[in-house]
This record gives sequence, C-alpha cells and structure tokens, in this order.
Amino acid sequence: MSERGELRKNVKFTESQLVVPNDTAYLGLIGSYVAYVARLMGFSEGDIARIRLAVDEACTNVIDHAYPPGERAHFSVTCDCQADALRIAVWDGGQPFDLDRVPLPDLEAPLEKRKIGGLGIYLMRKVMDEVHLCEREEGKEVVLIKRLPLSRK
Amino acid sequence: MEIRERKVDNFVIVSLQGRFDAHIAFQVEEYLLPLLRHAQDLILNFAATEYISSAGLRVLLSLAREAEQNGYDLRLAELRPEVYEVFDIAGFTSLFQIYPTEADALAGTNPLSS
Repeated sequence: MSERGELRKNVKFTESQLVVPNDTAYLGLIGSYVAYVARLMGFSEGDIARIRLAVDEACTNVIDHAYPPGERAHFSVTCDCQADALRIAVWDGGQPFDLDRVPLPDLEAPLEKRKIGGLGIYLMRKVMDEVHLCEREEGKEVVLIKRLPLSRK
Repeated sequence: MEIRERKVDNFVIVSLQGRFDAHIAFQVEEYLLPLLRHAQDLILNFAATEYISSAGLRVLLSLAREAEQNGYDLRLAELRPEVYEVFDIAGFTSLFQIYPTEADALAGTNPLSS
C-alpha cells in the first residue's frame, strides 16, 4: 500500500470540529484547519486549495449575513473524514438563507457591468462535488462534499 | 496581509503578501485605490499571495473599473496556480492584464490573458 493510503487509513471515519466567533479574523485559522484535515486524507494540493476556498466562502457568508451587525455569536466547522470523501458542515444559529435565491454571476459581462454578488456561492459550487444547504432544528448548515479522486465517477 | 511598494520605471509595483480574504479586503481596497489614482501605472505582484477569495476579487474588480474609467495601466503578475485558478473560475482572466513574471509585466510581454 502506498504511503498516502496508510495516512488516509489513519483518519478514516474520524470527525473533528472547530468552533469560532463570527469574526473574519478567524478565516485564516479555518483555512488552516480544513487544509490540515484534507492533507491528512491524501487530497492533492490543488484539491486542498479548492476545499479551503469553498469553506472560506461559506464561512464568510455566515460572518457577513447570518447575524445582525454587531451581534456576537459562534459558528462551527465540522470535518467528517469518510472512506471516500471529506464532508464539511458549516453550521450557524443565525438567520435562514436560501442558496438558490442568490443569482448566478454573469461571467461574460464586461467590466462595467460585472457584479460580485453571488460569486462566492458560484465558486463554492464549482470547486466542490456537492453543496447543500440544510435547515436544522436549530440554525442551518452548509454541507460541502469533496470526494477523493479514486472514487470520483 | 503585508503590502510593500516600490517604484520601477513608470510603474509602482505593489507586492501583496499573505491571504487576500474578507478579513483584509476592505483595508487593501482603502490602500490600493488612492495609490492607483496617484501612481496611474500599477503592477500588483501576487508571488506571495497564498490565497484569494471572492472578497479579494471584489477589490480587484473595483480597481479595474477605476483603471478603465481613467485610462490607468493596471497589470497583475506572478499569480500562483491556485490563485490563477480562482480568477479563471470566476471569469476574471479576461478583465485583467495578467503576466507570468514581474519583468514581463514591466515590459508588457507574454501576457497570459486579455
């Protein structure tokens, strides 16, 4: 078995969680955390960068939109290392949000008409295999799934 | 994020070191917009930019608009592959003059886009 396979075996079926304040100062920590877990699982550096981007965009949305300005809260990032995929859940207890109601950005628009709204969600969807928004009994969760290359169809 | 600037020929070259994310985006914009207006010819060197999110792209979009409206010369150089990929997915490569190296950006040679 390759060295990468051995490393992945070590983190199979383990779950970890980071709980952070709704403050953009923690985005760097969140990025380091998910990159660390993805690296343990044997993802390529390219995929690690993509996972980090998607989680950063999801967390930035929570920090910017889930709570009224000035309200202090905590939200969580949970990494679930599954046999064939990394499943990351970003949970917050703030206001509901509908991912599908965010308009898609026009990627062909000229400079003066280019809008940035919706770009974060678009990036998230492009770099992950699955993106779901789930309402929970308390709060909501964005679930981001990246499959390990061997199991990709 | 650490920002360093220096002058080479007609250009002010700004090196952006660290993460270009939502935490720092507003401050970077507050720094770069007046600098662009003053310098008029600006090269942003991304060699030490390890990460960019849509918040960073938003700042660059507002710089590009300012440059276009006023005829300033804004060039980007030395994007890491993972940063270039974000530009690419977002459809931003066609909005900027992007060069592989700082020397290319200064000379206007070997553009990667536009």
